[in-house]
Amino acid sequence: MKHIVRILSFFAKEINSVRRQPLLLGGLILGPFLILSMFGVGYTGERPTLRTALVVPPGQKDSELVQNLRENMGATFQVSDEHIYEDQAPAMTALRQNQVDIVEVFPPDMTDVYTTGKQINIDITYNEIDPLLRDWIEYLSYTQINELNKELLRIFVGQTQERVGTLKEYLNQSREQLQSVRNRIDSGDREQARATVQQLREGTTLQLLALAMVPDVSSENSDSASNLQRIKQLLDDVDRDLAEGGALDQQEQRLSEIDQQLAAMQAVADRVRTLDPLVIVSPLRSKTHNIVPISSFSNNPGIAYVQFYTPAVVALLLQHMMVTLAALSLIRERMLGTLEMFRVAPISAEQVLTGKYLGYTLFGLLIMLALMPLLVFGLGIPFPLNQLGNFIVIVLLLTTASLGWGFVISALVRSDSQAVQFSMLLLLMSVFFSGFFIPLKSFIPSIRTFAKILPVTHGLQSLQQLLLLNQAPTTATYLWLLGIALVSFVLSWYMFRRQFQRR
Amino acid sequence: MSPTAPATAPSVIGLEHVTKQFGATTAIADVSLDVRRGEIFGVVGPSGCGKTSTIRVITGVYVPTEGQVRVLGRDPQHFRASDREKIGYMPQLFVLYPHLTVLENLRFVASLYGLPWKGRRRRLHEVLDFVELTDARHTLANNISGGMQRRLQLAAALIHRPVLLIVDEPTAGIDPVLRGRFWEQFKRLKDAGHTLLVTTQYVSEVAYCDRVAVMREGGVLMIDTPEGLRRQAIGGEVISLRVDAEDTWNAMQLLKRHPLVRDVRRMRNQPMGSLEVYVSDAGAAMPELIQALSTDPTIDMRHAEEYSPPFDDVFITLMQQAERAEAKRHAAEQGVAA
Repeated sequence: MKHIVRILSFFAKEINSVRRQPLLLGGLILGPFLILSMFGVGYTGERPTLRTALVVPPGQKDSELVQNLRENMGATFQVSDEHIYEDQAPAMTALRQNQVDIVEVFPPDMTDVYTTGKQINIDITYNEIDPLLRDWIEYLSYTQINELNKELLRIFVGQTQERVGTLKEYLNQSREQLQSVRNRIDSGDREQARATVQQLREGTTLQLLALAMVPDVSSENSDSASNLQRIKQLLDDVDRDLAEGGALDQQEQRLSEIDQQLAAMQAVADRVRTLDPLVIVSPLRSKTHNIVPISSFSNNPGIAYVQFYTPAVVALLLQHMMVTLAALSLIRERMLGTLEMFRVAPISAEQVLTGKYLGYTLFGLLIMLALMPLLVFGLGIPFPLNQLGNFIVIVLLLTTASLGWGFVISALVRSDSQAVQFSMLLLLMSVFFSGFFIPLKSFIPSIRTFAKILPVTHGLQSLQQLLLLNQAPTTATYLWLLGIALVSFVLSWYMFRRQFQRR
Repeated sequence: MSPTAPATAPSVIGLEHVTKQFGATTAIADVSLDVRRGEIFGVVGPSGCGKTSTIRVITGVYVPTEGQVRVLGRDPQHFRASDREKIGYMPQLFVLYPHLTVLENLRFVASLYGLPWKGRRRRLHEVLDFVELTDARHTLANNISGGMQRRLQLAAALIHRPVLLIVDEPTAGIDPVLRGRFWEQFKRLKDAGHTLLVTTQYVSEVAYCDRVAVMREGGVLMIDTPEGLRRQAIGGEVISLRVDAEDTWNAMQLLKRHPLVRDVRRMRNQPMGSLEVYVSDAGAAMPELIQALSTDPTIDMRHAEEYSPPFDDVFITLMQQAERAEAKRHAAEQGVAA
């Protein structure tokens, strides 16, 4: 009984100490709520917009080409009239003076790509120190040029389709002429038949020349060219036979083959003409499916971000709160001199630590009890009631694991300012390595392993799972948190016991 | 003063040739003392003389480098929780929590000592009444005066009804009136059967103790009753005499010749005719000296009484004697070495 009374002495003392600090309590409950609310209201969730300066070929500033370019650059690249230049120098000055974020230089030969047969460089220059924004600029520039390339290609494909239209006319005429050849052969008018065959050959040669001028943008085109070659060859054979007086049945066979070739080409021409140029330019497109049930997320990007980050903020807050309280706890006992009183009193290091664990754990639970309704009803964070048990266990484990590291810090440091510094370092480490902002998979395996000793790494993952996906945390999560709690307790107990020991 | 604990009273604290060293630094050296049940045992000495180290050895906070320590019949290094429950300890500084109220601090210490919840309320009020802090019980410890904080610390040391109360410089830095109240409370505790070990820098407080150990540079110079110390310091007892101013010279000559008188001095800062007469036993010598002075018609004696010199003087004398003895020993050692 006395054992319990002694442990509870610290429990009551810690609770009394903390409840005397209304500012701290208010800050712990209202602080995260207000910060998350501000984030939700203020965050647009959009990609960064880049103030863009365009350097266009001389005389093109007000051209249709530049207007089309501006339209096709997308909303990410904001180009104002004052930042369209025909000379690169003033654009670079604007970049250096931070009036624009990037400068894009379009060279004079940008429209001649298909005639020159060479790739044209679009120089993009930016002035940015932030690596995240640098990556964004690189990526957005890449997608912008991709889009421009697609647009150019789409226009070109449209032009090609128009040329396919002339091929179709040729095919119709050719089939009519072929029928005339057949009729004349049947009537024995070989000379007239030869003259028509020669007309057909000339037409075929012209179409072959036309196709040769069109870049090989589709397989349909190359099929047409080989068909025409074959037709030309067959026409040569018919012409030669007519001149040499060859057998009629053989010519009829050739004429039938020519007709079949023309019919096949006609079918291809029909298909090519009716194809959407966009399909030819981008025959594949992605359609993504997320198997994670995120239907409970808001459509408002700001709120959706708040919903995603809230469990992480709660986990980080809980860890930081517990680490700081525990880190200050033992060092304050040492600085106040109470340790001397404890050494004389019938109390052990284990009882002191256990009492403090109990007090702070209850405090953490009470804070969660006050904070969660605010988040659920104030910010619309989902809270599946069937996960209440798992939620309490995770909060308890996260609390005790965090307290453990806090007590380890407290046993290591020599002043309360050092305790605060170490707590802040742990917070900084948690922000970077727990997956709070940067996904864990972005780190090398050794850092990912290191991140696992931080309680918040498991806390934020499991709270996200619990609250957002209505999924119970994995057994590994429980074991990791339990392991951290046990190891840190043993470590802090060992170090505190050495300090507590009579000398 | 309440009666002194008899020499036969059982020993509550016993130190035998105890030395405590921290590396090359000696905190206390060869300290031997015993504290008997029911007495107020004072430890007096200048700052840094080893009083607090002695207390820490007694409470088990320090492990002695040499020597034997017994407290309540047990080596403090092997104290069980039940042994610690019998000891009340008031450290030199205020070590309770400034952001808890007086009552919350006391509740905390009560729980620390395993005081059951049942009946605790009455005990808390008893102790608060004893240290006169009932009215301040809901005030934060941070907001009470330094004297009240010392009383709160005393209450914390008493909350679990200890058999032995160890108090480290309880009156340091507080006003004389409050110091007097503290000693009244110690006397009441002694009367209630507690044994008290009290350290102090204030030599005058020695008078409140049953026995006193005088410490200097980590060692115990002597242990005696306050009167015994005074006798050791001045080599006997003192009779204060006053004669007519013009008779001073004659009286001094007469007294110096008397066989019971060791020395005669004029009292400093007193009018002419005021004399200090040093004898072995003032009670036996005073009638003889009065008789001798009254037989001389040239001397007109006005007043005679036994005189107790202040303990400050006693203490200074003892320290000077110790320094002289040490210097003599040092010189002798150097002579031997030469």
